[in-house]
Amino acid sequence: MRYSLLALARQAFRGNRHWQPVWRDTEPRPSYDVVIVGGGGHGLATAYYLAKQHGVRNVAVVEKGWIGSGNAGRNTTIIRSNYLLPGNEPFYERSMKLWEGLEQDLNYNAMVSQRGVLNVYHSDAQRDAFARRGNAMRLAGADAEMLDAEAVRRMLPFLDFDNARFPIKGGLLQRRGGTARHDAVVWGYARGASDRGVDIIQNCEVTRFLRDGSRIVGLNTTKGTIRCGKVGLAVAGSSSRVAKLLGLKLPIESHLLQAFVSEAIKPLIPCVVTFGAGHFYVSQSDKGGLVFGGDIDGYNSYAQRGNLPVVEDVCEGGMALMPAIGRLRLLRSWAGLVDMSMDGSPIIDRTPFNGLYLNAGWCYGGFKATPASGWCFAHLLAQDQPDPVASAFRLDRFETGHLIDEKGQGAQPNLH
Amino acid sequence: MADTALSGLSALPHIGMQTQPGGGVTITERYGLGIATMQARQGQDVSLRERIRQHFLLELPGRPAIVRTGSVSFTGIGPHHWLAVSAGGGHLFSSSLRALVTPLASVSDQSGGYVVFRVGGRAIRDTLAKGFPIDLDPRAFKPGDAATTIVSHIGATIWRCDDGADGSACFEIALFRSLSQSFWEWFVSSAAEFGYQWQGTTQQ
Amino acid sequence: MSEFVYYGDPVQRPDPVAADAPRRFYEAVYLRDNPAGPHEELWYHANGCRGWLRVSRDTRTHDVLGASFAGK
Repeated sequence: MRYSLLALARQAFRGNRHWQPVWRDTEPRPSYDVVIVGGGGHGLATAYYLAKQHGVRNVAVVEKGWIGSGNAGRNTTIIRSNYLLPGNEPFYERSMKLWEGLEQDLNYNAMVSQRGVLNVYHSDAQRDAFARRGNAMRLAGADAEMLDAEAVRRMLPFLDFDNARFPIKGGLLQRRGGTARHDAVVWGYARGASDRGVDIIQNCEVTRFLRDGSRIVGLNTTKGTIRCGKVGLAVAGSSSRVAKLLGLKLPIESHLLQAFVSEAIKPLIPCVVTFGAGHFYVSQSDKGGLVFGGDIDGYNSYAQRGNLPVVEDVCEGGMALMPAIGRLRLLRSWAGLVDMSMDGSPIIDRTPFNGLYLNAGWCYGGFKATPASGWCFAHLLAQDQPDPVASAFRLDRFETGHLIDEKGQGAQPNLH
Repeated sequence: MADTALSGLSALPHIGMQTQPGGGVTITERYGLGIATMQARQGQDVSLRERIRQHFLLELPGRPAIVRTGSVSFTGIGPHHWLAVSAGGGHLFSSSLRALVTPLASVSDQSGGYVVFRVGGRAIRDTLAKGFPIDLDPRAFKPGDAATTIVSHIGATIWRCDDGADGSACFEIALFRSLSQSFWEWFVSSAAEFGYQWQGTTQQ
Repeated sequence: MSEFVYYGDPVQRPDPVAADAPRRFYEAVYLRDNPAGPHEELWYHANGCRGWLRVSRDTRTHDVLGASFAGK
């Protein structure tokens, strides 16, 4: 069913009793051309673009839990393309452009809101670094604007501009950045894929890969054996666990990233704001709650449960940036299981096994990448060649030395 | 010599006689201490223990704990590493300790580096719990127990003293002297709900 | 941020004059088992005794299964 004003009116006059489920929940068939492992945003977007852009429709997405139950439903919903390095920025700008046309493309309201992403800076050195980043963004076709303190004050008068330790000197603004409704992104891609013939199979965990020599020819799952031509892994924090089924070691550690929501208040924060002297970022949801986060917990974990020192650290960052929120109560907090790569940048590449493709290493930035990740992974799966904007995301770059280390932090995933 | 020696300053010379009504906790600064860190040289642990045993008639703790004899105490702050404190010893203490343990251990004078606060009162555990991430319950942290940890981002060593005459708990906290003001601000904001009394410096 | 600092997997430095040294260094620096379950890891007691600890910890529950000084 195509959504439109007419469809809405028609359903309303018929008592809203004839709405169809948004996508088909199916059982696996014996074989597919392509099986995507992982029913998060990235996996479903991959299936959608495989069907839509490449005409590959004999596709299944298998998901261990329910679709969107992992990081797709645990992030802070921020979309932006404010990266520095040439290996990254064109990819994220592709993603930004896909976000801009996503709702029309999917015929689904993903609540994409280009309310702007503002990174405030606190020193001359940081201003110079942000100017460099802004120039890199513009060279890749993205938008970036340097604001002085007065311009930031007009947008966000309640920030602690005269903080003795971290005075706010200005900010780097990407007006096209903003937020999107994360669950709706999952459902929209699921609907688009399902409408084009893709099977979405939930509660279906991969237990073994079926091999013919070094070629992957199928999967054993908790819902039986599925034969297939190609397998694409898009399982984020579970990448190492799934790769271990093949004895494959990845340049990835699984870590926790927490997110928080406060009680709802009247509209206060008009954009996404990040603190430049600590790690804190915040936006306000349409329901009124402040949605915010900060650093990862800092040690390997599969617990999907964060620890209190990070809660304190994130809230201290928030208080240093905007003391006005001091009386707000924290409503909920949770943790996602992020796949931290060894240079902080993702991997979209072939693997040592024929027919097995890997999409992983999204660190704490996977949500904004969802459309381009799906677009480029579908390109790789269909054509066996990387899309040009994702050609740097190679699995072997750690061995060849072609790292994409935005932070210059080296092989310490907990510091990226 | 005594006439020309400079007298020490309090780590918090500007506090005055601050008090918040309520009588929950007290804080005082131990003044005029000789403070030194002592670290055993490689393989000299046993000999060092023997030398300390002969001279001070005490056993160096092999864990985070404090032992005392007369005016001198040793607190375990790491493997083969102790914080030595002498009441009234001043900066001469580290020289005499160094002379005693050379060449078995390295001694560094910290008399001007560390400050030691003594805190107590009926609400002291509730106050400290707001900053120390460790369990200070009387069952878990007994008199003589010590810990080297953090309080509100400030590195600190804390040990439990004998309870006061009224049965209230008493702790001592050693931290870098230059962070005294930060510690003070954390302490008074954490103790505000219980009431606090700054009791100045004490020679003991 | 807190008392202990995490330093990850306790990898041994490979022999730099081995014939396949580049490969071994790549594996030591970049590849991880990343298990869901018991994990051996290094922690530095930065705001404490400055000691290095080798800790065994379950990454699914955060239960510490054991700890010893890393130098021993």
